[in-house]
Amino acid sequence: MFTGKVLGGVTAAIIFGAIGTIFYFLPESGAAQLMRKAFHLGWPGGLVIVILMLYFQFGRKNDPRQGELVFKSVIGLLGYSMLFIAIANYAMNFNDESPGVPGEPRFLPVSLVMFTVACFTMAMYFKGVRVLLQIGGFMFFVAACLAGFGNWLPQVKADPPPAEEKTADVRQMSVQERADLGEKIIFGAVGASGTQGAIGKGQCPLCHGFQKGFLSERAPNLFGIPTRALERLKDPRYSQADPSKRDTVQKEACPGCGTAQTAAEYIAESHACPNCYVVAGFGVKGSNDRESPMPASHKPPIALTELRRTHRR
Amino acid sequence: MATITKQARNKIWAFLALGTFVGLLLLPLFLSLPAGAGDTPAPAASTASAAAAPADAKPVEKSRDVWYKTEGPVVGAPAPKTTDSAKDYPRYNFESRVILWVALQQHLYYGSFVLAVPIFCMIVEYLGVITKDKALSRKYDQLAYDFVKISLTAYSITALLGGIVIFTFLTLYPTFFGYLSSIFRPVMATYALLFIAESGTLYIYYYAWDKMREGFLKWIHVAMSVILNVIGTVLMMLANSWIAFMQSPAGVDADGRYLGNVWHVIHTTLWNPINVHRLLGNMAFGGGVVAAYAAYRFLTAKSDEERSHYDWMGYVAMFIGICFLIPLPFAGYWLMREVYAYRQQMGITLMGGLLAWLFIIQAVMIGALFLTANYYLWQGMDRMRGAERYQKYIKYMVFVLIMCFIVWLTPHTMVMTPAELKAMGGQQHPVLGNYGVMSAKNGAINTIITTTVLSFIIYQRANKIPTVKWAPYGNAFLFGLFTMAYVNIIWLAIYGYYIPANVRVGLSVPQVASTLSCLFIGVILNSIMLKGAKDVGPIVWGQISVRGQYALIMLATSFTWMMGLMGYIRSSVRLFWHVNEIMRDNSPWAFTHTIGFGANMISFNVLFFWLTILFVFWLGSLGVKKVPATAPVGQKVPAPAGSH
Amino acid sequence: MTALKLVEGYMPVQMLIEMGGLALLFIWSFYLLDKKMGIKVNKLAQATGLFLFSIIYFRFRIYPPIPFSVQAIYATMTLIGIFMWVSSTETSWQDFRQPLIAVVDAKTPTTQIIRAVSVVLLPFLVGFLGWNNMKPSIDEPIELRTVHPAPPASTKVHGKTFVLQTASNPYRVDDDGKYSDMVQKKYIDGNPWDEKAPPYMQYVREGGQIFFQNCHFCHGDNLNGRGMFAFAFNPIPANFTDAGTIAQLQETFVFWRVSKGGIGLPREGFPWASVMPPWEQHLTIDEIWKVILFEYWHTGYYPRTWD
Repeated sequence: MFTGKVLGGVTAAIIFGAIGTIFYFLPESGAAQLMRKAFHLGWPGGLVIVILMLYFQFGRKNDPRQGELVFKSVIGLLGYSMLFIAIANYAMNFNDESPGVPGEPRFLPVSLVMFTVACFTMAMYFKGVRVLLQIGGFMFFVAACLAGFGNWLPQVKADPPPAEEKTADVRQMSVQERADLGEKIIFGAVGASGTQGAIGKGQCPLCHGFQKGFLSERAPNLFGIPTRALERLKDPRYSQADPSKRDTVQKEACPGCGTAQTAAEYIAESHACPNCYVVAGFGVKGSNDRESPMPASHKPPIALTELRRTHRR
Repeated sequence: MATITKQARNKIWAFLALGTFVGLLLLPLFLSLPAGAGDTPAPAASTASAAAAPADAKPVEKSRDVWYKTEGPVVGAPAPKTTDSAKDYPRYNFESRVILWVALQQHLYYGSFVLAVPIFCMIVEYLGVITKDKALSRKYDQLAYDFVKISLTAYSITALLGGIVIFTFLTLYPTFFGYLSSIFRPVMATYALLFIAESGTLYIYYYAWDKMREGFLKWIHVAMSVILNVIGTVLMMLANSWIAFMQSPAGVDADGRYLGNVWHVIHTTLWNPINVHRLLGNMAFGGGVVAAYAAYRFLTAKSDEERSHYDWMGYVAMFIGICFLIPLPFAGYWLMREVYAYRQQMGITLMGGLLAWLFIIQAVMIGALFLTANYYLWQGMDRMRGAERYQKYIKYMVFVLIMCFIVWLTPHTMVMTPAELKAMGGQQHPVLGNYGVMSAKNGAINTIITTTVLSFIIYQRANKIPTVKWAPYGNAFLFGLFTMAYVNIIWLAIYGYYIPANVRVGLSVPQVASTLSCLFIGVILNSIMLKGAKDVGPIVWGQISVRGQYALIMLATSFTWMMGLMGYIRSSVRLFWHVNEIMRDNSPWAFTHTIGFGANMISFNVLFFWLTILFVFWLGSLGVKKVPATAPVGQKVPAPAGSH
Repeated sequence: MTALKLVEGYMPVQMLIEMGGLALLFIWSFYLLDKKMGIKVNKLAQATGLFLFSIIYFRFRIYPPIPFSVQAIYATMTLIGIFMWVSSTETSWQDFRQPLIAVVDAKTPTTQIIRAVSVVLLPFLVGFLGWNNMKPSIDEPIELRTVHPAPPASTKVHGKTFVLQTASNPYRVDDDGKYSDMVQKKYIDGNPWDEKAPPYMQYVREGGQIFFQNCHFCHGDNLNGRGMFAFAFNPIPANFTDAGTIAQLQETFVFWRVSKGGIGLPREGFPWASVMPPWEQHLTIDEIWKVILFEYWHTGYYPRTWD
């Protein structure tokens, strides 16, 4: 009653029934899409096998091996379909590796399992290449296990950190490059120096104006600083060449630093030691201009690196 | 010519060849010695440049080497800063990195194979020459010839794949390739020349095989195999210098400008560890591939003679492969130490961070390799009558191995749903959490290796009964040795939980010592005891189960997979750098793929390689129709390293 | 099966010993059945029995329950082991195959029925497993939490930069005030409340006070992650008495984690499931070092060192 042929027929009926059900009720499901894709990719070869099968069935009536040939082409077609469904799985899901989304590339090893099954099934019927198919199938199996394990583990995808510009050696830079870098540090972007107001907490334009006429209540407007710096140096309160006479909370930028001699040095000193000289009227309230509200720019929280402080316009 | 002189001369040749071979294997070690070759060229170069500097009228800009910290004249341009554009990263409608990955991996597989097979050839041919037994000698010679024949087709495929790699590299990463080749120009020229030399030697070696079969000419032929291997190894080392440079650059300044000292560029800090690791890895891999070839021929064999020959060949190849596999972890340990010394960050990314899960896969593979090796030995016992006495112990060994693997594979960070997490009451499991740490792992892996040694010893004596007078004492000693080893390993593994980590690290020394003393003392003592032992039954080569042959195929596939995996790990630890900290990868593919994607790609590469190599095997089997020269079934045939 | 207690402190070894004993019992009972009572149990039946038993053991004997992923690993290992065992010799392999071959050949009515049923059921089973795997689930997704992500090379606390590889706990000092790896071992049973306690013990006491003022609400007064607020969090706070937490870490790593808290976890620590506050906002550098000193002393673990 339960002969091999009957059972084969039953199995085939179940498989075809399942495929039909999927296509009829769930035409847009992943499985249906997969089969469509497989058909797209593999129909020419499949057609050849079907033609062969028909030829064996009807064109070789007298061949004693007719039954076997037809059966082998059916089995071949089955293996071929499996092969292309597996390939379609690769084609559809290869690049999709969003972690956490089920059923995507993590199911690629299923393809390897299908190759394995196809190889071993074919090996049962195609005796000539049996060993090759079995070895191949076994290798597919080993690879499927390992790849499956790799996909079963939790997945992390690591993005590179945002491209960080390496602080180049400023001494190698042209004047224009240095100025651009400075503008970027102060205003956030090259060409942004024309706008009024702060770009963020702790940034220079929060207190200083940088253009003529810009509001600059908390700290002096820095427009024209290169020429004005020379005037500051002559201010008796600056006490050039003798820092010990300064009436401020901090007299020198560093012990033995002395005072500035040129405009550039003055600007540098102001960055490192805002307290050394406070422009009249801009001191901390009640300190009688002995103490500056500005933080030293090379210390936290500003913490510009030594190189960065030198890029000012 | 008198026989005595001939004998003596042959002996001298044998020693010379052996010496060269040993020297070749030790070459990387010599190079790595700090006082050795490493330092001689460097001062020479720097003094030369220092002397040249004042003489030169125009000032030469100097800069500092990122690794060696020496000053040198700036010769090259800085590393280009790439942008995500078609100029720097032209592309097809596919991920360029993956295309290059496949091309490189295939080239590497074939490259390793053609580098490993000549070493095999050399060993086997040499064995053939020094063997006194005429039939056996012919058998070895034929085996070596078979090896080189397979490698010949593989060699041309390697060259072809090399071309594909360069082409892919040039078209997909032109800027990066331009930078690398600007630094490595002299190395690449040398490489090309050596490649031609290698080809020439290989072809002469192969085609002159029959002509140089006898007497003095044979020794020249053997010497030729040594030359072939020297060239091959140097080739590999030059190619390694490129990847080592990408991972741990030296010889350039912080901007990537070449400082004119080619030795610094080649001899980066990771170069020698990679050389040694790759040489050993290639050998293990080559053994795997040849064993798989033998298994394939065994399974397709039509006659008992063929089966017997290929069973023997598979055993020899597996044996050589495993011999090179055993030192491999130590080489890996050295490489990892150097990585930590170079950048701790890199080491942590590997072992504890982003790539740590890949090492879990590696742990699984190590497990698979040992289980398979044991299984093959057990299956091999079917070849011998008298093995039944020992087969009843297999189930206990299986049990010990599996218990150890359960400990070995218990992850430190368990994968679980939040519900499971709550049920468990924390990230760590009170019972299994203890298996997740180093102490338990060390105990487990040492027990596994010791058990494998035990398997081998049992295999050795499967068909023999020792007849030496002191046999009972010997047996008792062996029994005691293994008991002591097991007790020592397990006790230290438990004790490791109760002491500080820096002391615990020291515990692995006595554990490994137990394992190694079992390996050496156990195997040697066993071999001595079996000298002149009573044979219960002969080894019937060919009488092994099909499952045993599949174990060989499993071994080969696992080797291949493991190589792909470790290569992927080594390469992806650079993260988003082309050249670590010198040249950034600004392509859209600078991210690190998921483990699953990596595993899929490795599987693809492995299967692609095996599909093509099966084709090579098939080509190799076309030429020969004659039955290989074998001893009749049942007659004593050789097996290496004291399995008698 | 939890009636038989797992003995605290010996649980891992106990589990291995139990498994060994059970395996011996299994082998022995089939040996007895065969040799003494003449009942030869087929290898396939033995293998199936052993496999089912191992599943039950891992599922119900080990407490607290182990996650499915680990159970799967164990079951796979068991399966491989069973395969290696039954196929180790040709006789046992033939014995194992015999019932399977009989079913495939289907020479008797019984085997025919079994074959028919399995051939019909197999496609459904495969289909069901596939469906079961693919169907949308309402469970929370599995998350991979790298509990100990790779630390930065250095960290900045209260304006001071600590290089994690070289920094050390300034309070892990012996009686002369020099840094010492061994001082904890020396005073592991010491009394921190002793008036004349050495400096190390004094620091431990101070660390303990800080711990009980700040940390124990979550990390528990036994440092086992079961503080009074612990179960408000998911996952619950780290259990320092576990061999997998501070015992695995360098002291500087712990320092980095304590000062930066959950919010300072790097990208790799996704999904940052930690609400630990950045303690640098509440404690001084010295207090952080002292509390770490206390944690190690109290649990008896030693910080990890490089070689």
